[in-house]
Amino acid sequence: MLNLGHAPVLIVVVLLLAAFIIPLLGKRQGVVNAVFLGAGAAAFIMSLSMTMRVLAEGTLHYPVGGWAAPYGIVVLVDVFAAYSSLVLAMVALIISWFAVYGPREVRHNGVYFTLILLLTAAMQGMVMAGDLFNLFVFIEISSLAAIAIIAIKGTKESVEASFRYLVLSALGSGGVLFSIALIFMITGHLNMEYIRTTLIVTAEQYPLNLLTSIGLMVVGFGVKAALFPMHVWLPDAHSNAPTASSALLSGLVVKVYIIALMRIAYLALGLEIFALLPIRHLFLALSTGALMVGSVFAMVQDNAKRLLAFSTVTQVGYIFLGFGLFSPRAIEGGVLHILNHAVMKSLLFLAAGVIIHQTGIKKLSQFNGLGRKMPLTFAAFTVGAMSMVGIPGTAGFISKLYIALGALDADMLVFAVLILVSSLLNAAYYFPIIISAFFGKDSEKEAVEPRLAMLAPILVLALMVFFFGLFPSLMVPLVQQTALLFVR
Amino acid sequence: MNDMILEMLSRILIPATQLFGAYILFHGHLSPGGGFSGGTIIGASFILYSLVYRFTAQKHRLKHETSLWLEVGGVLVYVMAGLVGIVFGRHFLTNQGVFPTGEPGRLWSSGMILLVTLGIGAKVAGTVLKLFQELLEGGAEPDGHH
Repeated sequence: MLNLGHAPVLIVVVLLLAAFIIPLLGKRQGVVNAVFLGAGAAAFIMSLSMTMRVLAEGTLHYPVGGWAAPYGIVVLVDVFAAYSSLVLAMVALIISWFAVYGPREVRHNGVYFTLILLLTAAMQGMVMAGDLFNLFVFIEISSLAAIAIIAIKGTKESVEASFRYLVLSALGSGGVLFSIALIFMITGHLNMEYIRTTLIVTAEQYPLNLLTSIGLMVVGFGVKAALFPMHVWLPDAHSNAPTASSALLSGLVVKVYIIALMRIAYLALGLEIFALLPIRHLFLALSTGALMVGSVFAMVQDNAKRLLAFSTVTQVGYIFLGFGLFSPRAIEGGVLHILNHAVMKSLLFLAAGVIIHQTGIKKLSQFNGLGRKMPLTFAAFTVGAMSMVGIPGTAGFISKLYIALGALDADMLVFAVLILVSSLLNAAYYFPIIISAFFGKDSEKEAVEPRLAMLAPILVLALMVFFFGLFPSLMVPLVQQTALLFVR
Repeated sequence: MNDMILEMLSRILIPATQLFGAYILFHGHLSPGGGFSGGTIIGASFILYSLVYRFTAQKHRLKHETSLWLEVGGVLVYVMAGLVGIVFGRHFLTNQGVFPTGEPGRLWSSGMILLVTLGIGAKVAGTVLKLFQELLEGGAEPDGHH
């Protein structure tokens, strides 16, 4: 039997291999679907076993090719990487199911699946990378694949949105690359753990290099993670993509860059530097902006997917807020929100996609009465919306509670109030949709529930929202140990 | 349109280019060069071939399957070479102790590096050809393989 100790590389290899085999299969759609979903399932199983192992044995170092650091390439799986990998594999598998059995929005499913597999492989590689250069390679793969799964829809809007994303994302990549070069210049290492030990000595000698490098790094990842005010590309890109792409982009892709940035912060730069520079205050200020501006913009949207895209800007703000507050519970909340938001935003995007597909209606103002015609889909949408607002019992409540408690721990009451206000703003734009869908007057539009295969991923995600809301203790060991990486 | 000068020249130029590309590929572990440079040179010879013969006979056109198989085959060779290490109970992409390393400085040395270089070469050549085909057809999809 295969030794699952190789899981850190095998996850990426299996996904990449499937991505390259699918074009060879041509038009045999059944086989293509099987390979696509099989690779996703295999990645999930390996990620699960890897997480168990990390919990039992601690951080895993996998030297690729058997060459040890600092000369060899090392895949470094700590609890944060294992947790992220598990979230990615789990949510990506469910979205993949939707890409296969959901409404068909792209002409060549084979090409689409290849791109999704490339994207998931790159994201998995990014969260587990142990050195900055491989991290950068995976950033590039995931950026290009993410742009391609928007443009593949082929409409004028999606091509324009993906081009804008390409330009800004390339700027971000350039910033990250330059910053990596500066770090390499003053440390002579690309391996993150070696950078940290070297920086203890050299940081004082080259403060300007380090400062420039960290600034470029924060801006580069900020653009890619759509941190306010660098979010301008996000609403167009996420709302004009095919439904499965929207769910992937909003649910997973923006968060992977936050994970990568935070991993660099504690693995490579060391938390002392993080504490010395005003990065935390920057995060606090910008996430405050995100929480307010994202909600206000979402409120005035009439296009369902655009509203969800602006809501993502807000939710990214929550995660940055958790890291910016920097008390243990706030970090736990931020880390937990990565999972919770991935689940609930995928749920909302998939449900919105199904509603648009079944009715042809994109405008929220015409959703009135549709809830009575498609009860299951709208019930799932309601669950997602409730979780976004943070109703107790749903997943969103737990992470928001943790961040708010973390704000109190850090003696920053104002941010607890901010979370409360932002939740009210969320309610102000999510609840009218639900109320008009269930209690509004009947629309003339005919609407029926989709077939079960299309509905299944949405129902599974809705159950997961409740599951993680009622049993948060399941993820607690991972999340708590992750917080310990930051606050020792 | 038949252009005799072009055709005669290309009969010499294309094999010469490919031979040079193969040299760069096979000596990647001994001298400057390797998968990327060798693959690009071989890919350039495909482009030259398409440019010279494209307008005369349909049968001379390089098919999309060609570039597809080159690309996928190259990646498969690389990954398989990596998996051999795992099969032998070592790490992914392990070279020493798994592949015969031979005598340093000779062509048949360095274990799997040559194998991997050839894989990269095929992939790069296929990609160069694919990019050319896409630009030539302006994103049109003649046979569904896109």
